Amino acid sequence: MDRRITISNFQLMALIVISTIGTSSLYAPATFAHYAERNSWYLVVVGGIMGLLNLLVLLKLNKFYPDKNILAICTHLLGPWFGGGLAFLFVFYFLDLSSWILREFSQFFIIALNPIIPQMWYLIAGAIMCAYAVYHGLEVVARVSEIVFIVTVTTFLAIYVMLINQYHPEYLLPILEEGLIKPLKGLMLSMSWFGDLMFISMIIQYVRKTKSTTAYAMAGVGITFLLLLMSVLSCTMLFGGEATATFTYPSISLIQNIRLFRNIERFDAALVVVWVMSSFTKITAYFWSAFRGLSDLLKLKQPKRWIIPMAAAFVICSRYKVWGLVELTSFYDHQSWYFVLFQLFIPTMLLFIASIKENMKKSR
Amino acid sequence: MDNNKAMLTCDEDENKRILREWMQNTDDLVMVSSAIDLGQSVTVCYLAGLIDGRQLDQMLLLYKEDKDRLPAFQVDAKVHTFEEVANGLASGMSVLLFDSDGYGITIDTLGVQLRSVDEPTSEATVKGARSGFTESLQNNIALVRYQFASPSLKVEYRIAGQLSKTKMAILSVGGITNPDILQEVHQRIDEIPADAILGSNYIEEWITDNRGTLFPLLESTERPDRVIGALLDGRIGIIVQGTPFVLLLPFVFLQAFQVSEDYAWSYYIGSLMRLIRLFSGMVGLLLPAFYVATVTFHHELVPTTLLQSIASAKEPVPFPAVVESFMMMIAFEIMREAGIRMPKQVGQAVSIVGALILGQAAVEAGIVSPIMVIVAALTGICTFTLPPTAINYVIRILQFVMTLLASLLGYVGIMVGIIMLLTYLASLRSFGVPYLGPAAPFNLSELTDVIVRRPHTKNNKRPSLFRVIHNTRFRSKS
Amino acid sequence: MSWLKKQQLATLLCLCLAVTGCKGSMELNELHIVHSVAIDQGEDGGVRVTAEIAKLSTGGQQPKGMQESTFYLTSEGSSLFEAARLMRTKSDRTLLWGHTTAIIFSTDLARGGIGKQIDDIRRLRQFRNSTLIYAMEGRAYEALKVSMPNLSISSQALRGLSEGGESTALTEQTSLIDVYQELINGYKDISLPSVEVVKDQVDNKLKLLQTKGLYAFKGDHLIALMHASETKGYLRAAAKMNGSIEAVACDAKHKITFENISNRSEIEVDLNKQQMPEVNIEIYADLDLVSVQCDKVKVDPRTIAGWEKEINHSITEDLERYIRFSQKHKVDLLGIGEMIHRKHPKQWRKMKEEWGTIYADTTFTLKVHGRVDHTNFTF
Repeated sequence: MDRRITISNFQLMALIVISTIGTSSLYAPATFAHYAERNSWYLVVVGGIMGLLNLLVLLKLNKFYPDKNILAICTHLLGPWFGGGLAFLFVFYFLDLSSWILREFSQFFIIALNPIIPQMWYLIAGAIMCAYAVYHGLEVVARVSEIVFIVTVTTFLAIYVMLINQYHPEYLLPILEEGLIKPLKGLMLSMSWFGDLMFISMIIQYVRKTKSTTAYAMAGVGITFLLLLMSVLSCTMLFGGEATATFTYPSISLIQNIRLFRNIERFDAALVVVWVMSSFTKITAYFWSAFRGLSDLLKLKQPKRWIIPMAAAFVICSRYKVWGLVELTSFYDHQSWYFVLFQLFIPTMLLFIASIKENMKKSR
Repeated sequence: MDNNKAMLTCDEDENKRILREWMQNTDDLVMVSSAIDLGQSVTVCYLAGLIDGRQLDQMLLLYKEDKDRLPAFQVDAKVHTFEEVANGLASGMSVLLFDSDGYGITIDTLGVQLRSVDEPTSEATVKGARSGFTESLQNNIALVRYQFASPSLKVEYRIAGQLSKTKMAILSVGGITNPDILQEVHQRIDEIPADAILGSNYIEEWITDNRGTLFPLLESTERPDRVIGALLDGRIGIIVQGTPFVLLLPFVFLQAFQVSEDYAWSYYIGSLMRLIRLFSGMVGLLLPAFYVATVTFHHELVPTTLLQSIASAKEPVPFPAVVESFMMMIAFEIMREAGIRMPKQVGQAVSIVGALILGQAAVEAGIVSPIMVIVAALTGICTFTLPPTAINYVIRILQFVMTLLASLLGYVGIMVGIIMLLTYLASLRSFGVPYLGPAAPFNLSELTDVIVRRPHTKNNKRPSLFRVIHNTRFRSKS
Repeated sequence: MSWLKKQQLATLLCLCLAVTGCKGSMELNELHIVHSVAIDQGEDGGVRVTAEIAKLSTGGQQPKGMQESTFYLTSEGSSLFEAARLMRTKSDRTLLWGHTTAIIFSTDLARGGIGKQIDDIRRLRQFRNSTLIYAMEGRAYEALKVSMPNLSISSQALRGLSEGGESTALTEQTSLIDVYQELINGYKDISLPSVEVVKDQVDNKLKLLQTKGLYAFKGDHLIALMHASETKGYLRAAAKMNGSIEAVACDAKHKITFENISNRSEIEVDLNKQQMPEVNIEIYADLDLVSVQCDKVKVDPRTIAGWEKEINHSITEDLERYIRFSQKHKVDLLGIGEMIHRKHPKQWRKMKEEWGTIYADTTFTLKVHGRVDHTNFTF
């Protein structure tokens, strides 16, 4: 590219919020309720704090090396062989995650809307949509995400406000009867959702940095936290903790409860499409990261040629990744360390090494 | 031509002969010799019909009285080559050829009957100025100057088209317009290789950023006030000779929903009208798709009573909803096209046939359902609220695409369409300005003058979107 | 050149999509809209499902809305889902369950437990959260065949009747999601409104639907019917009622009638020294005088005070009747147990197992504060 890509702070925030909230708002209320019943808000709070920590690690890493993405940092710190291997692992992670989200996306629409439409259709539609955006580059993705951000946040708030007279705040009582430790069983999962913001390690070097960049990024996590908290709270207050755990997508049931003028209801079909937008942003963010990482690592001459094969690979991978929803959710339940490993642990390790290296340089 | 640089000679007959050759021996070339002074005779050449004869006479008399008094003559237009003479003649000049000297003088005597200043037909208003541009370049510039009497208004002439030699004027405001964008415009216009420019759209297609796009990346308008408003926002106007449509650039998508009348009403009314236009733009784009998706995929959303009505109305119709909607939409497009092309005298017949056959008989015959008629009619009317020069043709095309997507994947299909559309729009640029601005990149304070209308008293900043040099309109005292 | 190629590619893609057709879509001409469903006990422990489907009149410029007549389809299967699918063998079109307004369970089926059926219905996913649930003595499908005057679709009638609860306090609007979430959460026991077929008092041939009383459930098993006054007491204690009728005798034959305008209840739960629950229920009710059948009644503050006392008494009686009923059947419709859980989570853990017997021995203290006003005339 001849022109340097830049994205604004607001676009960074929008990307963080949308890609974190996109799928988590669907699965989180049910999964958290499964672990902590009526105290699921507690998991969100703790997860939010961990998410902030995660963000700080990534930001700090970026402060050490302002114009390197995480792959470049890997090779810089650990040498071309070991670091290169780790960078490849990261690329693999991005690729893998993109196909996971694509699968989530199609699974969600099959369940929430129409089980008759074949899954392949949704997968293809999603892949085309995202490949198209990746083709146009990061700036375009960022600009679209701004609009998506506004639409999504407004819709979410509207959903929660429209249900306000159906809430039973007493469903939250008693608070933390099991103590502070027991509900933390689901913490890994909560962390992995907030950790979805790790793709910013690929894009943060393009952000036009000002004093408030950190503030915007934090605000992104803050908004995510609030939205997720609201979705969890309203599910608990509406259905009760135990019932929430039995729904596949409690947020959709929430929408089904909205009723206007006595007989206009079932808005779920219409509002569900908001999740098309947010999934789109999320898949595209990871797709782009994978694409960028791949073209950097392999030093591709015409990277754009690789978009269509990549998209096709995503479709096939997602199709045969898992058999169905049960396997999908159980993977998230038991294997969430896999996500957290790449989101938090490896970056922390890199940060650790980086700080030692910088200190040594200084002392010399 | 081998003798491109052929100079005028001092021989009268020779001049006449060569000139006639240059002009393809055309019959309307008039060459009259007359003696102005003692011993000096002059040949007056012009194309008959293209010049104002009385003006020419006056000029000649003036010239006879005082050879140095040449304000009305294009003094600097002393021509020396046959090519210059021929080009001058073709663009409506009269040329005086002196047999003693090797040069000629061109006199601007263009006299063509043109339309007078009229109400702009494509952008009619209830309140606000009623004069629109005409086909005359000079007159159009005068119309702008008349309302914008400031020395900072800059007009630059350019000529494009190898054969048509179309004159155009680039309007900008010194101290506001970004010189980089202006430079870019000059460069792009200078690079136009076309042989003829027969309207502003020719220019538009040559200088636009993305030639394959469906969306207009330049705005065209018939209204002087709109041009002035755009100039004050730091945009650039291009007036092309021979067309009443003036090009404005850069152009961003959301401006397609603005009309100059918004500023003629109180800002509440102006804002409301603008919101209605935005809304109906969306309805025009999505309503048929939404209807098709709802009745084929998402039956739950419709209230039970309404669904019952729709179902019983749809009962005799054998076609799927998507076919039905395509039929109605195409029928509507045909009627609209017919409405524009048909002579006024048969208008009544066409409208009766259209309304009766498509509105009633088709329903009774069980070809379409009445709900579909409502949907098609509403969609059609919604697109009429938008200014006709910009987006509404695009919306009409895209509504077909959206309907197709809706019939495949329901609401998800519509959403996929919208997202791809947004991605596409976000990737467009008009002279370096992001097409979706100021919505993306997001700028709240500028959105307040795009989606709604800001009061004039609060409108103290020019949009930074067009990278203006000086972005304060005025300093408010309070 | 590449531009042209791109266009061709896009066109090709569009064509492919269009040619492969619209899989998964359902035209309205291929659907029957189900309006209400009755679920009965079938043979061999299965279920028998009856669906009320609207007939569509073809042609004509004026759609008739909900004034069309209906027809019925019945099928049996080992599960609700199977029965619903088998119904397709008798129907010329696919059935659309998403617009079902009411589901009626027969009491025979409900005695054996409705949990599985509700679960099945939720799994079908098409049903609305707001679908109304009723229980009916005898065969539930008979209720669907009653044609109410003005409305031939009984789902609309059932829906209208459920809204009548707001002014009579004899029935309650119970939706699918309410039932489902209470069954899962177990915060309190559920109750379903009862519906019955009665004869019109004037025209004996005319059959009408009537909703009066609630069926109380223990878990997902139907236990017993709460009659009018018990229902009223329950709704009052649960603060679910707005309007109702209260009457006070003024002489041997005649009565003075009051309309209940608003009702508020406060339930306070505590544990006494023996770790036994104590429940305090306070009712605040506003009433309005609407009918005086006896002569020589003077409306002044003193008589009103007298009426208030009598009304308080009669309301207390309703409540007591409900409490007696619930303690007898050990159904905790008010969710007293959950209230203890919220307040004393530690003690609740011990009580949880034998909550049924503990509830039966719980002491209730009732306080009713009725206010009477006379807003039609001052004198």
